[in-house]
Amino acid sequence: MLSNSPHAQWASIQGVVTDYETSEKLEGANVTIQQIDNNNRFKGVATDRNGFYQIGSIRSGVYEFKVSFLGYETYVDTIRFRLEDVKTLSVTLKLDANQLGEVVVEQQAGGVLREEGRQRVSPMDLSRIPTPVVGGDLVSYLQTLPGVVSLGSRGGQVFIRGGSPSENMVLVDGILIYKPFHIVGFFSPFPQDLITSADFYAGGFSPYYNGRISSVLDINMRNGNKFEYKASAAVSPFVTDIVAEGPFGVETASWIVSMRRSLIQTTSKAFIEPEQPLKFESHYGKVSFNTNDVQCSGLFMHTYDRGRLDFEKDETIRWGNILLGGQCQVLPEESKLLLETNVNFSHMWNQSQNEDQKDSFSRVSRVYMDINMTQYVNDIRFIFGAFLTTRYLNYDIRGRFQDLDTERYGLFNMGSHFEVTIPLGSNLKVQPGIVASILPGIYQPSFEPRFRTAWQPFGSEKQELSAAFGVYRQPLVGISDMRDASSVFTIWMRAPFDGAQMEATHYLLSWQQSIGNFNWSIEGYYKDLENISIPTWTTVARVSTELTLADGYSYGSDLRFEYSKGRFYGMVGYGYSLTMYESSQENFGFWFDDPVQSFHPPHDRRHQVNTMVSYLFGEYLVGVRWQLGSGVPFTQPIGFDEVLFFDKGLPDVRGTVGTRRVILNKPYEGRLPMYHRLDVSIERDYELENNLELNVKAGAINTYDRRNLFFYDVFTNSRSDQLPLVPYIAFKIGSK
Amino acid sequence: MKSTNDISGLYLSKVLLVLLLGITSITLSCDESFEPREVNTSYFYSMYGYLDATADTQWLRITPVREDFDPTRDPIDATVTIRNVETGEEAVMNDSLFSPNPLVVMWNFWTTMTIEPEATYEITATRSDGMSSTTRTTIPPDYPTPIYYVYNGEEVMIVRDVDNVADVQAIWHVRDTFFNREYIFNFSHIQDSLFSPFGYSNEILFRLNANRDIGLIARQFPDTGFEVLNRQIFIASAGPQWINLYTLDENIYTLAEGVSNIDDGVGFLLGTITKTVPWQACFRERNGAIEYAACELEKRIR
Repeated sequence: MLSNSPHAQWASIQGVVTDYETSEKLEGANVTIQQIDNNNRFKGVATDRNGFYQIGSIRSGVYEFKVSFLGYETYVDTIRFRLEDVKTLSVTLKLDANQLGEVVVEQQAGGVLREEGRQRVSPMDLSRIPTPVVGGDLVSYLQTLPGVVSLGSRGGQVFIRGGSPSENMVLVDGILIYKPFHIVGFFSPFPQDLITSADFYAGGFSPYYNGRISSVLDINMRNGNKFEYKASAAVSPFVTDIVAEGPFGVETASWIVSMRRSLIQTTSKAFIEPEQPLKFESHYGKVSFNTNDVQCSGLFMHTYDRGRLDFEKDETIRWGNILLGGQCQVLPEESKLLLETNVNFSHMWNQSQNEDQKDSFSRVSRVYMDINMTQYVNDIRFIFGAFLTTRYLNYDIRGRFQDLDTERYGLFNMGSHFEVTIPLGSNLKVQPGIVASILPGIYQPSFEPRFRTAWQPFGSEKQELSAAFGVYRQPLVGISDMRDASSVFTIWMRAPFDGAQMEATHYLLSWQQSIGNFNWSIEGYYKDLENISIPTWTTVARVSTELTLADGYSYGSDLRFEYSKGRFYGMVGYGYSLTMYESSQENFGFWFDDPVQSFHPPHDRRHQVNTMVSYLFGEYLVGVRWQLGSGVPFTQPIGFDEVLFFDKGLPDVRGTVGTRRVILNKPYEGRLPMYHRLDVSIERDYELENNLELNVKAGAINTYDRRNLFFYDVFTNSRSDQLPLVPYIAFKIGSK
Repeated sequence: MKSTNDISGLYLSKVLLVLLLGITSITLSCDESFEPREVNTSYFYSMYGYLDATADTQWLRITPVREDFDPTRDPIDATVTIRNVETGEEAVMNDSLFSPNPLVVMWNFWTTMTIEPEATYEITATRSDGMSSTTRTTIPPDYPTPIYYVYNGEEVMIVRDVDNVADVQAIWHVRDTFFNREYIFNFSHIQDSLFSPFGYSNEILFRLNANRDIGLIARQFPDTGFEVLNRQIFIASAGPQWINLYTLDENIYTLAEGVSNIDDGVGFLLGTITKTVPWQACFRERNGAIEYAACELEKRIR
């Protein structure tokens, strides 16, 4: 416990603000106290990501205590404080039906603004993206953000600011999910209906998050309704969804379950050319229990994906995730310490099947426990905690990576994190922190210093300059064959080279400003990368390769403009990014006379533009999204021939066919064509009897039928395209 | 989703329309063509094989470095010549197409020109537009016929006076005892070399591990069994262009510039002298004693 002198004699109040119906924590609620018996002293704070607030240094007196949050009825109370009072008051806010419309247009204008490097994504943000289903999806929204690169409508791979998918941390109510997105690029297990919010950090994240070097996506799943039973069902040519929720019979507990299943493999036979041999499904359930002092929840999730990403190949990829865990948040009566704990299990498997070779698989299981504490000492906030992780890894990749074979082993990892937020005057705050961790027998003890700061030069949140620096290390590496964009098979393992933990150092500087209904922001970043495992290059068509290490860097900037007023919402984003790897490979010495080569990896998309406009025409909500991305690197073939080998003796020239070879240019010197796509949608809600609502959405993916390249297979000189023009109509019916 | 606002719907719908039209016109005007290949101005032909001073006919695999992944059966645009650099003697090699199925097209070039030991030959493949790939390769000197020997209970082949041994192969001619079909198996013993225990620096011994070879053959006939009809040892010496390919990383070998000795092309051509001897001991009498001797050369089983 931390001492709170020199004002220990003064009173304080803290609590958690939650939603009345679901008990979800409300972040950003304004909590104020105003003295009413004398001189009108006033203090105010906003709740943090845990819905937690704390106001200290309160002099004795009678105060009006008020909690307000846009879209909710304001909570007002009168409280008498005496010296050394430590009061705990957790508040539930009820939705205000009269304000709902304003919530839509005002509260959600947050696609541009960040707080401490974090971008909070709300369900309303997702709903604006034209996706071929009623309601939005988190992965579709992520792809609209500058700096987030998706290689296409297949694969579910998301690259963020030069990092590869396995370097992103995706948490579902605190549970790590290894392969979070579905094989069809528009969909994830996180549809709009199921999430409360998602916190996205493209870099510079706090010590609370550790074990990944690129980005964090922290998803808060929605609780079920504590008072009513509700259900909905939705269908589109791509997917079908069912969601049900309700109380457990008491007003303190609720449940929610859902199932999502793809239809595209079946429906594409009728109207998409070529057929899409892609299948996915996910199942989800959550129970939550909430009292004034304790909020607990338990979650189960299962996902399954299967398909061929390169339709010309016979390789089928399958993967799945199982997540099981719980989290509790406790604010003991008359305590200033908010405790949060997570205990969870996550498992991921993926498998590659190929007619010509043995199946490869990789599995990883992880048991994780942590305890985190938030405490204020006057205005200084401390967040600290400890974690334990045990992982079990098992892979059999014979025939895929030459250096690697089959192995199974466990890894134990423990550590702690600490961050303090110190206000320096009213306009500036600094947040130094550190992560310390050990992974015995594998790596040296790791210390990862981090520092974040924010300056509001005009004393208002409407203008903010922020910066971040941090060292990030990743003990487990997820290795994919980056030579092949369609390869989403990932082998999870400890670093293949002794002691070479992946490492990134982030430097960020950003400015954001709100001018009326107009928001804009710009963020520049630089990432220094070390010990990235990559496959070496071969010129013979085969999946087997060796691994080597690369160092590198990535830098760029994101620029976003957003305007929201009345029925109109518009957003334009531009991202510039440059990623360079440098690797020493024996091959290169023979190839280019220099064993060290610098190259842009295949996710190095230099320019990316996203525009999004939505407008409510009467009862019809029209959404338009246009995306443009410059071409990503690929290795150009020069020609093809057959090689005769001399390594097992002189070849039989007359009888030996030879091994087909592609004669390659320098790796990744070419660029694929520019990618752009226009998606449109129009939707309308209809009120039905029995308190039901029907939502109908029609639209088109790739409206001008652009032939966007998904993947060019250098070993077969063949192209595979993304989805062509796909018109769709989708329905959803459910409780209001 | 309802709210009051002060923005004209008509105005915004115009904005949307202009935006849509603008995007559409920009994007539809974009060039969608995609040419993944780098224009090939470096490598015209792929050339593999070896000249063999002991062979009646020389066979080389020469194909154009093609643009497409799959080969075509179109007539080959190549004139291949072979020239003795010292004497100037030159011959045009004949093409021969072998295509057992539509996906396999093999262009081999052959000549009956006599190949002389220690001579250097220039092989040139020329396109109709004048572009050509060329290489020079030198035939090694002739060498004594290798001798089968049993040393310390092990069968070995003694190879003398050869600077570069490019190949030592066991050739097994067998018949499966159930179907009565005949097969030929080749096993390399090039990496089974020993320094000469007899103190000769110009001598290399190669272990002939018959049990290993038989084990490998037996795997091919798990249910039937087989009988050996004949077996031979094939030895090849190589000229100065030889590099040790047995320990070279395959990734490097397959690089265009990895080991290629073809100018303006890719591939690997070698000068050799090959000898095929029976896998058996031969003896001669010398000064009243019987000693191991070279056997008569044989024609290689094919």
